[in-house]
Amino acid sequence: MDTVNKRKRDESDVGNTKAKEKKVEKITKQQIRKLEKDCINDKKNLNNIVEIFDILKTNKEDELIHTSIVSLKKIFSHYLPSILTFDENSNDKKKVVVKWLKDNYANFVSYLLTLFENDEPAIQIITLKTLFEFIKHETTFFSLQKGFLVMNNKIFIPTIKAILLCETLNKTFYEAILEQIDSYDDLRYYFLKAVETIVNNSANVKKTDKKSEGEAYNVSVNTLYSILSELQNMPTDDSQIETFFILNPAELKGDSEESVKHPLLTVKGHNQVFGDAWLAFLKLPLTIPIYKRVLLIINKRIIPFMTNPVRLIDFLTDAYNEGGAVSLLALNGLFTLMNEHNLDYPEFFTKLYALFDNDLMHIKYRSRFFRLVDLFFTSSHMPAYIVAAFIKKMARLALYSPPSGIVIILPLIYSLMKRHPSCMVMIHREGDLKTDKFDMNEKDPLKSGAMESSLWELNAIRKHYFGDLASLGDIFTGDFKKEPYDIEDFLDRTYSTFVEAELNKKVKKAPATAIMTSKITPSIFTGYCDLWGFPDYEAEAKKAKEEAKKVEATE
Amino acid sequence: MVNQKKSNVSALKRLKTRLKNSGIIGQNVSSKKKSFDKKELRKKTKEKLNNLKNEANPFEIKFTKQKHDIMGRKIKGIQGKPGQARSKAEQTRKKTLLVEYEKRNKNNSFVDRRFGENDPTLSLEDKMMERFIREKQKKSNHGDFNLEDEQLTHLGQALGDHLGDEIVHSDDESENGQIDQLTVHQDHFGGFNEDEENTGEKKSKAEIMKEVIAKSKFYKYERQKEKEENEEIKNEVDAEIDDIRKLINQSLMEKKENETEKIEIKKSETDNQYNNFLKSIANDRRARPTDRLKSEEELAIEAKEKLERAERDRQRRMQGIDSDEEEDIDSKNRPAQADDLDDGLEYNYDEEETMPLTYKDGVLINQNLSFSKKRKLKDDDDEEISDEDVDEIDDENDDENDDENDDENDDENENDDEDEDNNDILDEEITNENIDNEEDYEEINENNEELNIKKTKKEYTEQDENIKKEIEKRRKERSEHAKNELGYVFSIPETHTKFLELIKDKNIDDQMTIIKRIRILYNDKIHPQNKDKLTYFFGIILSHLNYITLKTEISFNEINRYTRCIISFAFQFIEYFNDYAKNKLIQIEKKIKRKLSVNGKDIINLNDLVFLQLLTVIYSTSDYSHPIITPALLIMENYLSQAIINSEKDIIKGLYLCNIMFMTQKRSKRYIPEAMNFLLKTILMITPDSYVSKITKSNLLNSNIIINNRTFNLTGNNWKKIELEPIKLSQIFSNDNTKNESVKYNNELKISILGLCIELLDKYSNLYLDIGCIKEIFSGVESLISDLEKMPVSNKLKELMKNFKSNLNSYIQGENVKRKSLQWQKRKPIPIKSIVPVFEENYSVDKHYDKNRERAEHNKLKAQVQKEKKGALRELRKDNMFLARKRLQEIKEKDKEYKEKIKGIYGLLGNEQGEQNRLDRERKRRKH
Repeated sequence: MDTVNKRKRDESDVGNTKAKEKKVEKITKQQIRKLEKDCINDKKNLNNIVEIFDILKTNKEDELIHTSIVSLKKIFSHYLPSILTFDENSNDKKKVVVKWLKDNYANFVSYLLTLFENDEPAIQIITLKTLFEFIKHETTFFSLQKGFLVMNNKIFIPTIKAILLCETLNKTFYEAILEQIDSYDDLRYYFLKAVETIVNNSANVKKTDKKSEGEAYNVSVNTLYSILSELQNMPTDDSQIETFFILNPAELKGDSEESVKHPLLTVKGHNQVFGDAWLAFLKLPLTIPIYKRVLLIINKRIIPFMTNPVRLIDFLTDAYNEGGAVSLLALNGLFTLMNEHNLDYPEFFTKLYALFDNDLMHIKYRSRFFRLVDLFFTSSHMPAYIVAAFIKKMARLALYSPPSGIVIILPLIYSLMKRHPSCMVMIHREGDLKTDKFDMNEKDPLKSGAMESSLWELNAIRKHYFGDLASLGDIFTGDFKKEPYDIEDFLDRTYSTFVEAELNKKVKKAPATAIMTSKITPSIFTGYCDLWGFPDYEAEAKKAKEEAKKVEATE
Repeated sequence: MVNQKKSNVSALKRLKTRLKNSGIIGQNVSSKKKSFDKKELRKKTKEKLNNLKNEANPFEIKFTKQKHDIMGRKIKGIQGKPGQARSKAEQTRKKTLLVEYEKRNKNNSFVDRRFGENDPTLSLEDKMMERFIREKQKKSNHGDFNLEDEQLTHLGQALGDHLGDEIVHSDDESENGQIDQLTVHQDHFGGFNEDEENTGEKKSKAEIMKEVIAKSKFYKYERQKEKEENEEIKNEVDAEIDDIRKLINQSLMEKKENETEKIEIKKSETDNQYNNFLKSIANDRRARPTDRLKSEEELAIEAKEKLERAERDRQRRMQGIDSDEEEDIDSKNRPAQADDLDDGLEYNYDEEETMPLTYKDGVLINQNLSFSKKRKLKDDDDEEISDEDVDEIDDENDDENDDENDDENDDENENDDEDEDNNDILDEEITNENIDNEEDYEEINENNEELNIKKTKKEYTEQDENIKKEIEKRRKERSEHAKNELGYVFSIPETHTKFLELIKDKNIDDQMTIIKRIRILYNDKIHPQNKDKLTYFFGIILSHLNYITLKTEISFNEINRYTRCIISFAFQFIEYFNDYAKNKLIQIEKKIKRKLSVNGKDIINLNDLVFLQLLTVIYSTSDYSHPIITPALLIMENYLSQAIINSEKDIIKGLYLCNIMFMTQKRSKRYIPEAMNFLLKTILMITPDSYVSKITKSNLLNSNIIINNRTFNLTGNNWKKIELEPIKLSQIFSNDNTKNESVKYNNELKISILGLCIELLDKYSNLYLDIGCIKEIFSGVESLISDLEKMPVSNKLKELMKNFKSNLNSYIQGENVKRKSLQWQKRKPIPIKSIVPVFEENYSVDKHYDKNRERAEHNKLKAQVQKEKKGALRELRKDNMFLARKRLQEIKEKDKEYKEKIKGIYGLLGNEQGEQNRLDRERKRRKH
């Protein structure tokens, strides 16, 4: 079969298919199966490959696409050894055939990469499986040849890239990918490695040429995040690394005499690539929700699996300086680094002080934040004036907080005062202050002047409309005999919990009704008239009544 | 004794002096008596000597020596007379123990039951007399009706004692006017001592008594006999009286016959009248005393006191102190009657039933009493008739009907007003009734109201079905006749749709009249079931409120009228409303939770707003903690702090809530953080960024979470021409989306919002005047207003800002002057414990100073027990010794007796033997 022939056939094939479309209308699965069997059994029927490939390309029917992929996969798997052993220089007779096969193989693979965009998850999955099958075959082949495990990145990286770029990532497909990658130690390892290279490459490309590769850079952050964050089976011990998709590199050990363990077999190696992948990922421009989600899991899912978590410092510091909710979340990660990895963070409390801004009491993550804050403040070595600054600021913020915030702040202040009795001057001072020296806008807690102030804010809290809070505010007027409160009891309260608690209270007495001073049924709009432009209904009613009286009198 | 000791005179001399003193020896022994009676004298002397012996024999007295004499201590038993005591004890033992001992083997004993035997005060004669009487009584104890032995008395004295004989009064003294000889003789002291003379002997008392008794019996018998005879004669004469009359007075009878007949007729008439009158009086319910009309001052004072008490309770609740019982009653009390002209659903419209005709200043107050009664009768007995009446009137004359209708209205109104004027008089009564009702209601609606309602609904549907159909028919007819005319009788609607049908095409005034009439018709005083019906109807009105707030066209007038109606209803059925309010709050809470989890859109709608507002009017909002108001407040705050602002409508809702909350805190002046936050946030949202400086922003405390969104900024750059006008709520809340979109969201609205915010801030700042940290709360607000003043807005708005700013400024200044640093840990100094020992004045060893009263008492009792035990043991021992002595004595006596007996026998036998021996000797001698 020479090229000319082939071309001819191609042309004729096109004609054939067109004719077929017209005549037969439908190609059945059985036909494809038959073509496949013929092709595998007899080399003479190799042209069937082209035929199936055409069916694959032209057909829109999911089932047919599926079967044709399966068939081609079987055919190519069958002929793969010969393709791989193909030598350009050999003057073998078969050279032409093999080359032709190889070209077709390359075409098929590249076509498969586009198939990830298909809507049908079954096709996506079979595509994925086929590609991995090929990768497995190739890698095994080359590794055996060389004596040590070499990943065949020629197909693997484009595959991963295609996955990451895939726009139609539905749940089934996503789960399939995850299952494939997460369950095999070697696949996960190479996946992470691939991620790093892909992201870094794209970043480099972006730097050099912003316009052209803008899209290439646009690795679907969401997809990558969801895969990276869902990797559950990271090994924690070398012995756990035992499931391999391709082959166990240890089996190859005998051939090569290196005493160094293949990185695939060590936890350290895994952690290394894991960390690299994450760091690469974090360099990407992240959306705020993803940012927050990363920060939420960073403590439990990322830091423990990194060889050198301190490398996260840049990311965390940036997040911490971001302000708002992101800062609060970053605090958690930072704290872990400081606590467990000896990170030295200068002016930590100053920065923490800055986090106490107006929005703090209104955001969702405040209980998470205060849990940490409580932890920070357990240190008895903190200078009292810093504590005082925090106390004063919290009290000030409580003036505009919802009850769920105030209910955290009050016990916290109590505990702080209990631990740092010198702060008690803020609620009890003999003699009088001439001026209130506290400066709300001062960034440095040392200079805030809170010690020369008094917690007048608590006056307002003690008159809070919600009686429970008001009475909680009274703890400051009693003796400081109670143990510091466990802040955990006061976190995670919301309006709903308060309302439900109130409504579920057992009522001993009937609710007290209002006192009616007027003889006329009051209008609900009394007292709203001036601001809202209601007519004075009550006055109207009064007037009407008086008129009626007059009428009566005349009669 | 001490004296004796001291005067060291010999015992003999002492004896001598004493004998002399007692007059046994010496000169003063009278010589007369000596000669007089030697025996007597000797006896007397013996007595005297005995007395002296017993009196004080110094040798009898024994002392116990004390080792240590302690001054001022009294010890019992230092001296005593053991000999005397022993002999005394011996004597008593002989009397008691010995008797017992001797009786130990005997079963019978003699009891002296003779009367007066042991009573020395009675003389022998008296004793005898008494004994005789008793004996008699014992023997004559035959029965209760024994007349014979009954002692007749006159003036508390036995007749026999006094008169000696029975007086016999003849029954028919008048017959001849003479007293028989015997009576004269005996009773009228006709002759003295006749009997005595006759008998010659003086009779003993017993004999006299016997005679008396015998005589009395005899007379009694005589009297009875006589009476019986008289009776017989009487009967005979009675039987023959007519004949006798005829015989004697024939002519006379004829004359008088007519007259007597007339009299008799008259008599019977008057009798009947009298009887009837008597009956009617007997049957009449007694007029109950009514409370007197209270004077104006009294009324005023009462009202004032009532309000004052209510206010006191409120204050207490505000501080979170539980109200006491007095309040409890009070809370159940109706508030001052709410009344209204058109929808005046006063609570005591039925008071005319309980209230009698009442005058005030000479004017009949409840003149429509008869009218209303009539009306109620109509309702009760036959609704159809009343309807027919109406129809007839309709047919006959429209004008007249109009008039009448008006009249009725007026009457009712009048009635209302007057009721109200006098409501205090009956207030208590009504309140009590209401309490009863509530209790009833509670019983009925214990668990599931709705179920109950359904049940009752069924009941009365069955009952009223026919009537209702009829009414329905007639109503239709009538509506054909006069569409504008309102009916007088309505059946209570069972569903909201039916209610809608009922009020269809009626204007709001008429709707109110309908509701009012239904409330009158179904007054629970008329029929106990009406309570349930009315309660259910209340539920319908409540759902109607929901309906009118969800309509496309919102009329605040309508809402106002219905809410007022609901308020007065709520006070009548407060229990029902409590449950309703609670359930509704739970619903709203659920809704908010659900919506917040989805997108936070439209968390609260007008319906909820009106409901929440209604709650703040009905319940006491100043309480420290209130089962309805507290959750309601939390729900409102939840909206303010968490609702996502999508449109100006959401902002206005928030502002409206701010206003509601302001109203709730008007008295208690509690702090509401969310309202402050929301107001400032709103201002920042409306104001373009360029007008607010950075410093101002940094000073403000509000959260900026939703402000970054600039869609609500004022557009353009000059708003001077836009006048500040109140927001048209009915347009804003209109549910007809097509109509209002264009009107709503323009700069005018935004300016109004801005003005509203500032006014509300002003109000709040005034509210927090005394809270103690107004400076912190409004930190940055002053500069914010200064920034806002730079905006090109209308003068009115600027004025508003200026006012607010100056107010705020003065408040803050005032606070700065007043405020001192907190001193919350000031405590009273605790006194040091004293260690000075307790010093007892006039300490005595004998006294017990145990402060523990119980212990002291216990010790005392213990000592007593010990003492008693010792004494008892001693006594027992002595008893035993006494008995042993006695026994020994007995044995000795027995032995002695025996010995003597034996001795006697031996002697006898010896004698006999001696005799025998002598005889033998003699016989021997004879033989010899």
